Amino acid sequence: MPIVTEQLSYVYSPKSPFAKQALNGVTLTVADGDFLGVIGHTGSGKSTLAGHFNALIRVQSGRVEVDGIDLRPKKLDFKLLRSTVGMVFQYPEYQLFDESVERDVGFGPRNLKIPPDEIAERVRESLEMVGLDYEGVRRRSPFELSGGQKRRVALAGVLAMRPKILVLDEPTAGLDPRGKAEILELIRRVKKYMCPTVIMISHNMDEIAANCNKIAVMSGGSLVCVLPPEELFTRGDLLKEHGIEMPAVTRIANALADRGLDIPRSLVREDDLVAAIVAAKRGAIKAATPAKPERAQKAENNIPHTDAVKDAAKKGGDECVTFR
Amino acid sequence: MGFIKFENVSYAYNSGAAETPAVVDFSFEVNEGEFVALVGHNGSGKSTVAKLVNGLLLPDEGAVYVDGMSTAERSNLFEIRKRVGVVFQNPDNQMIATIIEDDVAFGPENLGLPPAEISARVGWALECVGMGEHRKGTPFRLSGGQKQRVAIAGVLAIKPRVLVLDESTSMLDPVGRAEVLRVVGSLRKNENMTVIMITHFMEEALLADRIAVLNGGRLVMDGGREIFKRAEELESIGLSAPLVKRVAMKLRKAGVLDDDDILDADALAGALCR
Repeated sequence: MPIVTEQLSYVYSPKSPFAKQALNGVTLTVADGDFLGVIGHTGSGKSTLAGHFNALIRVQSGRVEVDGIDLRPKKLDFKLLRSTVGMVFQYPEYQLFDESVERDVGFGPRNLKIPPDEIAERVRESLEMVGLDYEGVRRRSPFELSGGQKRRVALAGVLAMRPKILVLDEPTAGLDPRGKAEILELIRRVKKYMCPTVIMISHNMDEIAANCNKIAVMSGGSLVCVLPPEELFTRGDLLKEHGIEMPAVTRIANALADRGLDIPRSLVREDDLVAAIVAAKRGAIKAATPAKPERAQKAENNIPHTDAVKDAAKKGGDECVTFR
Repeated sequence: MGFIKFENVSYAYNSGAAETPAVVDFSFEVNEGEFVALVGHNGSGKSTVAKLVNGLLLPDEGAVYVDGMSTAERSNLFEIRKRVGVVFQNPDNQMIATIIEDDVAFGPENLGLPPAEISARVGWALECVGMGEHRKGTPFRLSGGQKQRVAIAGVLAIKPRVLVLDESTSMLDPVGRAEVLRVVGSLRKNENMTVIMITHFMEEALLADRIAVLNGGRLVMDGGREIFKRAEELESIGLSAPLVKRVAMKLRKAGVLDDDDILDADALAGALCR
């Protein structure tokens, strides 16, 4: 299990008039291969929780274990920990500092006293992973790159530590639509080829819903629940109580379902929504012709949402081709 | 002539030997009472335009006029900045005082207004943004959305005729963003404020009456919501159409929708459930 927290609590400025309870008994397990989304309002404890994962914030009460390392003792193998957990902060491009891209990305491995050949290899690998041309950018100053490129270089600097777990705090904030799409694509690639476990904090529900397999909802320092997106966003009670926005895709799915279109309300991905609408429209045309007995129709409606979506996606996809 | 007028404006940032053109031959007018969204990818020149409007930057070529006054004349700047207020991206960079009412009073104090008038304006400005009860509080304990609302109040206290929001919601969470957009809506309704909103959230741009699109420092589209018909062109310059429009386009391709000229969920439902 890469990350386990048990009854984790944290107070900022304890025993002072400004004491603030930031975490309150958080018990959470992140499994190997998870893409965990963390959501919650500003001040709900998301970043405090994430800060514990590489011991930037030390355990006050409760327990944290990361990839088998107990983070409670005062003395820790920080080198090991920080090459296990890669942390990408908000606006990471503000942390670039060195004279060349190559030196900036190699900063972490240099501190690990890794031989120069291997550092060069890691720098190349990380820059290629984030979609930058190694030879083209290695000698350039990071400060003359565009905003999107800077963010990639900053991410490459984290990847050069070859972490097993990647933690990202609002990775797409401030980017334009294409920049957002590119960074998310890149994160999916990193997850596939490099860090199997990814934790992403975000305010963008569509981003979270479309990428994560589990979503942790934080509120007032407590962990409210951990649910798959398809389930969380159909839980009207939870959304209302904690002021969670629905993904835009889910909102549209609900608006259409309200008007009687036969599509699941749990859709969270744009393509699934399109496929479900196509399937529903086709279904409606078929239903209008009396060929299908009512019972079969009913049974079809009872298929769990995820399967229904896959099915719809398949149908929709095939028929799209014939239509062109 | 429009209240704000850009006439063939070019501007380049000088970083050492390399000149980076930010705005190229840009002509653009905004009339009083308009609500214009200015959209474009990162680096398209949007923020440069915001800084050119009130003379924080001066054009290399061409001219910028506010209410008939050129920003190139130093003596005009005081009058120009009374007419155009800009709210920037990062709420933390815009707070200058330790008490909210002092922060909001900074502008009117510099106008040399009598204390009673300053006090009245501060009260009015804070009410406009729904922060009246925080008047005596400190900005450091506010949420991002609250800070941005105080920043807007600070600009309103000068009683500008144009409010420029330079990605003022981009660092906020959804709640903060909604707060700021609500304030913009009420300023439009109650004060008939002219608003120029710079953003790359297409859903925000949909709130405006007019949408201007920048690419590579040039104005490439300028019009009403109909510009979203050119969805493919928008995508080619790093932007996107609003989600509903994207879905409608895909549905049309799949042959289940005749007309993809749809921008909100209700209209989509209407078209599909006919």
